[in-house]
Amino acid sequence: MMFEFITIGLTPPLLIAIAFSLPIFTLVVKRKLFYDVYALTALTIALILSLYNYYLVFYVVRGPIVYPFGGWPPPVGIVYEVDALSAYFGVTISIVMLLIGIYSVWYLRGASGYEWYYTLLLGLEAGMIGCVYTGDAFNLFVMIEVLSVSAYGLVVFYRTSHEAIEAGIKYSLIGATATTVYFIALVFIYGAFGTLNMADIAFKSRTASEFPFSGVVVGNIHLASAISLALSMWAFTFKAAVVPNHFWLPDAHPAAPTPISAALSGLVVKVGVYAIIRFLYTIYGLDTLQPISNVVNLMMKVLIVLGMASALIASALMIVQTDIKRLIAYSTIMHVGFIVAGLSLGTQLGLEAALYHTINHAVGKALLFLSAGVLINAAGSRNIDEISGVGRYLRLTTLTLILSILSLEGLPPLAGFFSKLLLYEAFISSGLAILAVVLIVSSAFALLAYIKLLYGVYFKLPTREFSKVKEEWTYLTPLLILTALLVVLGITAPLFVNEVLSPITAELTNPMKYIAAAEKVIKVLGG
Amino acid sequence: MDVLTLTIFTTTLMLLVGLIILTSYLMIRREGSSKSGSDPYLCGESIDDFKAYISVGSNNLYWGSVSATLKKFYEVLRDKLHTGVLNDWLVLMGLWFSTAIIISFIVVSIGG
Repeated sequence: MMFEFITIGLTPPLLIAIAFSLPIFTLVVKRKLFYDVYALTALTIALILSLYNYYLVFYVVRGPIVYPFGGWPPPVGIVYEVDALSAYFGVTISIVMLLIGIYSVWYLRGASGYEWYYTLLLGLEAGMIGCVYTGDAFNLFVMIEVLSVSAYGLVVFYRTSHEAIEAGIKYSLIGATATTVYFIALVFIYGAFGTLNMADIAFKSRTASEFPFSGVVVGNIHLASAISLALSMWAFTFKAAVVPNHFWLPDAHPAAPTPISAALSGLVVKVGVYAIIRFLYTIYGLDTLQPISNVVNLMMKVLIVLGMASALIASALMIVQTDIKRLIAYSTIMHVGFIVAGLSLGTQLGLEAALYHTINHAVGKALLFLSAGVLINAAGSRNIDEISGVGRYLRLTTLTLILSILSLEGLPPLAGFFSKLLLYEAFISSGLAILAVVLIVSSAFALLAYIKLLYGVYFKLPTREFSKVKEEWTYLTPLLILTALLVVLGITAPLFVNEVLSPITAELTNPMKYIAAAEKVIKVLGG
Repeated sequence: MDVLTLTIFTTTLMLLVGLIILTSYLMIRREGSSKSGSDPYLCGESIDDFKAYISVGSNNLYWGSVSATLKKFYEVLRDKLHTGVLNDWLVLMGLWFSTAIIISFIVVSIGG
């Protein structure tokens, strides 16, 4: 039983082991090629394992899979519980991270410190996959820390840059506060529920009955749930960069190396989104006992307001940015706003739209950052005016940049159009037409900012010669794969919604399957 | 035919039309365009010093709307809210933190 689904438990610990082993090699190997191959091999293994886990969850077991570490049954031991949502996020993370890894090989040529870069990059992926695979609320805290420590380190990779140091200090200070706030939320949960296992909490918040090993509830679960929901939502809105917890993002993302900006914008903020979904739909939910369900309902309403505020504020600020990476960073806040508003509708359609937009934004934003990184590298500046006309010399890169913008803006047949269409439908069918208006208005603001970017990159006359600039296949390969993904995700929209998103939302709106998977393991291991 | 399939069909058709228009334009456009555009005559002065001014700067594209119509809006949004100072952020983040705690207490008190 325990080793039947070993790949579930293997993925994050294996990545951590590979990451922490890497510095040992620096004692004997100095060649960059070795570390490039080492990191890419690890990222490929992570992708294969994630795809296999997805296959297990969607086609073999057709339900959540529990991996009990050390053979201890939940809630006694720590477990990984991978359901359709976890598998979906796992695959998204590992695909984008592998492409970012390939791009990093080009980006780090001639740079020093690549061994530490790869150590932290692998640590970042281990943290992200750990967050989405874990079935234990405390282990989620641990994996958020693994992810955050790697992210702080990567933001200050250019440690001689004042900008990077300032951004890193701000990010880490508030990040540490946010994880501490989440830890306090766990204290309340444990004090009332007597457990930190997600399935166990989900069961008790719906029935208040006895669960194997942890027994009955030991405190006031209503009050504890209310406080823990408030605290955890505050912490997760920080991780997801939702207004007003978004301030760190426009500083941190531009200061980081470009591939890391892509990972932070495309994936790391999505871990915050994942945690919000897990808390609002699995651990708690609209089907929990009164008044917990009332608190969930109210939190969703507040998140809709914050999501829409994020979209409007960030899109308005995009227009006045002069730094390309900062402009793209604000666009991330806007899209996360759409996603959070969609998932907070509490409907299956809203969830489907939010999850669809999550992957489309992850791919589109990674492509946008990576393409912009090539242009910034060629021009030697992040200022839109100083980058004038460089796109004329890097036509393929400019093409991928334009396609990523068109997808994020929502032009058919690219993927972003279909997720925005679904979001639009979800807002209208929930009777909240104002949200659809905000979606359109903020997209229009963003379009003005993107026109400014394209004008600077391509249409404005070059102010200097870029004759030595040439396209290279090392970075073009991930850019073209990401572009192909945007097209495929778009033209397969109906299939993708039916085959991938519907099973996820069906599981999320009926968390009893998640609880039953844990109970089944308890019966086998606990006697 | 469902809405999504219809959309894919329509947009593919749009793409094809767009490609036909683009191909036609490329075939009939005037030859002789250069990457840097046509250089204006500046009384014998070196053109390189003035190239940047041939077209409007990217950051000045929306100067009219940002500096005139939306000046107040951006003064508040950019200069007062997004100052880059940690202490200023904490006020707003603290506001959301206390709102979340207070509304949770109220809901539990009323419902419990």
